[in-house]
Amino acid sequence: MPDDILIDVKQASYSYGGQAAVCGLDLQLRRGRVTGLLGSNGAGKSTTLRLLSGNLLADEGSVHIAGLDAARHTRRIRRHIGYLPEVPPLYPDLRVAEALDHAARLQGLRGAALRQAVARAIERCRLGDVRRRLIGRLSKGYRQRTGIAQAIIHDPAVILLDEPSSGLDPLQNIALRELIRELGSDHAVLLSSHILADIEAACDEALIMHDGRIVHHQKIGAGEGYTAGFAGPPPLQDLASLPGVTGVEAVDERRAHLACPEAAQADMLTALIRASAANGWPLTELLPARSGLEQVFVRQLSQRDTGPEPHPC
Amino acid sequence: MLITIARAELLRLFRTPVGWVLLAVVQFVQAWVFYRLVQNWQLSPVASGFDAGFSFNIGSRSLGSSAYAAMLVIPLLTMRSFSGEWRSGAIQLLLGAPASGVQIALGKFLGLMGWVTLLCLMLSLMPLSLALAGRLDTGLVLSAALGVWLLLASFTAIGLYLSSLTRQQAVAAFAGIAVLMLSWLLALLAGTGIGWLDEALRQLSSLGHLESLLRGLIDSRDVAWFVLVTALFIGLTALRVERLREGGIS
Repeated sequence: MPDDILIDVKQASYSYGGQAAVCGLDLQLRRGRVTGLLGSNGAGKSTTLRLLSGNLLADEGSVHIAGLDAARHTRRIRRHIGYLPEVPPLYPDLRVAEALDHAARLQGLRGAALRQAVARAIERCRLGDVRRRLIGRLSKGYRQRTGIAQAIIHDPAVILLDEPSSGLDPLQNIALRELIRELGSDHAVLLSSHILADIEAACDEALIMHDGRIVHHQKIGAGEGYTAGFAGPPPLQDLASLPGVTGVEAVDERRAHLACPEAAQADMLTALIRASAANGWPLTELLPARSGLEQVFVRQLSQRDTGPEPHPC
Repeated sequence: MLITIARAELLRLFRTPVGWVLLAVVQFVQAWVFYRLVQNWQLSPVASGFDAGFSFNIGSRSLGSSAYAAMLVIPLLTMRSFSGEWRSGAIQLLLGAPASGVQIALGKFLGLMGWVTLLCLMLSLMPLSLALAGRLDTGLVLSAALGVWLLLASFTAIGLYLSSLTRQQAVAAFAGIAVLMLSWLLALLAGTGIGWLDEALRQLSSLGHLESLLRGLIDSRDVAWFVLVTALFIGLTALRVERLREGGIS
């Protein structure tokens, strides 16, 4: 197994009392990459994260964490994992610095290493202003950050964050995305969310999950096209004939996604605006679609919902 | 690892009013009983049963009375340990740490025992103050204090186990009170006249084992009984923690 693959999951399944939550999961996480796990509520995201954290043992298949079999080394793998559950495990009656000290001691850190770890986590998660405050009195954003600080206190190779942005205000959310990006530079990070924008802003790649399976895998990058909004229904045929457009797809009743290689974008935009004025379908919005993830997500979910029942595990 | 878990448990106990209020409640109950016993003693110094002077009749008895208060108080203390954390999700921090089930169960028990030990020291002060009034049998009072400490240790272990069974704090507390009451009632039932049954009931009752320690008799059978009960329930708690971890809780 190459060194940079920190988590390797093969055909893992887990069911709660006969009801399959995760089914035939294949997954690899690498150092230096932020992976987003996208799915509607109940798709199996949290169960997946708990399987990867070693808090659940797979019924079938294998989970390797930093080369260790999760089923055999149930305690040793914990040193490699920093896991933030959906509800951060916090003691409201401890102060931030005390909670971090406690978390570090639980991971076996002592003395100078302990003090360093606490100081580093406080700095990374920007908790310096609230280090003496009781956790119960913190705002939701600070609480979430304290949870992340606890999870990364022992500098684990893999960081698993379950819906870390839930309940945060927009400013807190932007700060959180920055923090996740920063952590992604030298760790393997897996972030679960049902919010597209979070995944697009913070991740290098996205996995779409539905009914306990990963149904799509996509890299996230800029320059894959534009989303155009119109006053009426999108004129799909006119749009497809524009120069540089390699594909057109309706997003909803008034919007369409135009796929276009980066080199041809300038020409395509000029032609689009000219055609809009000349042909009488006024543009109401024009946004660079960072990844087209939304289209894929909606398409995957609607296909699955109308299509045949997924094969049971 | 043990010390880390115990320290956090104890620290959190005193961060909230619970730890302080429960200390005060038990202390108050003992003070009231102590006052009544002193009053009775002044009226008729040797009239009340077993004659071992005021060391037993006031000192030991006031300590023993705190055992009744503890039956109600200990479950309120232990319900937070697992049920409370389980409900709030904070338990994940311990379950996700590289600690064994035994370390988690024993660590929490030791933390709670810090509180119990402080309580026993405080409870011993009033009986020991009798030394100011006359010739106190210090050994007798210390034996009684040891008995109460051992009894509370077993109560704590039982409460801790019940707390690990449910995420409802109220259920954990009431179940704890019920179990401890039952173990007390068993001793009262021992008067059936059927020899082996009476003996069995006495052996199963925790307060039965406290009795001889209150009389200054440190019987290794009684000490062993408390130690075994305590160890049994810590062990059960450890198994339960492992199950929570492997089976997964949400």
